[in-house]
Amino acid sequence: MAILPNSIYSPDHLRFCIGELKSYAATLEQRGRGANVTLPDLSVESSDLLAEIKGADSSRSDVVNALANELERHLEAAPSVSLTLAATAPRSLKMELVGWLRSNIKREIMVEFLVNPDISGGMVVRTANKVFDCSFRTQLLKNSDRIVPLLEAS
Amino acid sequence: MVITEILAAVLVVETILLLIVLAHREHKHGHISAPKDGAATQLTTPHFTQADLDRLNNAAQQAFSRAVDDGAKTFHADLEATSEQLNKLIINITTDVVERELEEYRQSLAVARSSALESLKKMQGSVEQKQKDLEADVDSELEKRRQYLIERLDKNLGAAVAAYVVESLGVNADLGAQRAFLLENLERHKKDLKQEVSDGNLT
Repeated sequence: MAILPNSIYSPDHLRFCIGELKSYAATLEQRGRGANVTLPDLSVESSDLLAEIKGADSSRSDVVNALANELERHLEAAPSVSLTLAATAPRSLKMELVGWLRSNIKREIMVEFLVNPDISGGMVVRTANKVFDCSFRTQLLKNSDRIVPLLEAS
Repeated sequence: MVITEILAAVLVVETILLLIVLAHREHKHGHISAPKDGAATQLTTPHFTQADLDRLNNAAQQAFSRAVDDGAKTFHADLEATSEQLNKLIINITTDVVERELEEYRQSLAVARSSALESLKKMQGSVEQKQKDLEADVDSELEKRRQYLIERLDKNLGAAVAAYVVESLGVNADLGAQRAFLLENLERHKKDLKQEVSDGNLT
């Protein structure tokens, strides 16, 4: 399969794209049978996915269905991590973080972005079995015993 | 001695009276009659006339009065002397007793005073010691409390400051400014993340 674009990073988003593609494929099939139906508008990401199909006609429903099924298999097999941030990250930052993870950890990795203002800053990375807490809150509380010596030194 | 003299005077007077009585009887009854059996020894007493009897009576009375007066005077003088001696003796005894009692009282008072002072000193010493102990205890407790508060402060100050900072940062975190920090943390945990993901762990 073609490399999944960084713009599709979360499992929910991929499910959405799969749903879109399946719906698109179904419409294509209806049109193939002669029905006068309008093709649904695809999201940018789904369109990009279709455009990535090489050596096949993306106007064919079976091709689109095959793509959707492949994406489903990918969704089931791909590893996933969640990144919890203090606020909703801008798209560019999300792209950058997803890009780093797919470049350095695993190409197929899926990333879920969560928001928790309580962490104040930084992030918390969760895998299936581990939590990597790099939040400001944890860092501050972990080093709170340093405050008194610092005050005394000053 | 006075009584002896009085008794002697009374004896003399009684003797004189006896003589008078005998003389009187003699005068009345005449001489003593001889025993009837004839072998008599006749005693003839002298005749006392009435004037003699009166005289003897007077003399006896006077002698008696004199003896009684003398005896009374002597008794009175003796009594006075004795009384004076008794008074002196009583006074001396009383004075001695009182002085002795007073002395004993003074001594017991001195002992009691000394004992009370001793007790007071002991009590004062005990109170001072107790005060010192209490002060030491209070100091110790204060020190413990101070240490406890310092430890609590040391322990909780950090958390309080951290909580303050966290609260102050609020929800307006600028994630764009944290970009480098986020990537740096990912880089720091890269090896562990790879391990997790390659072990086939899926969320």
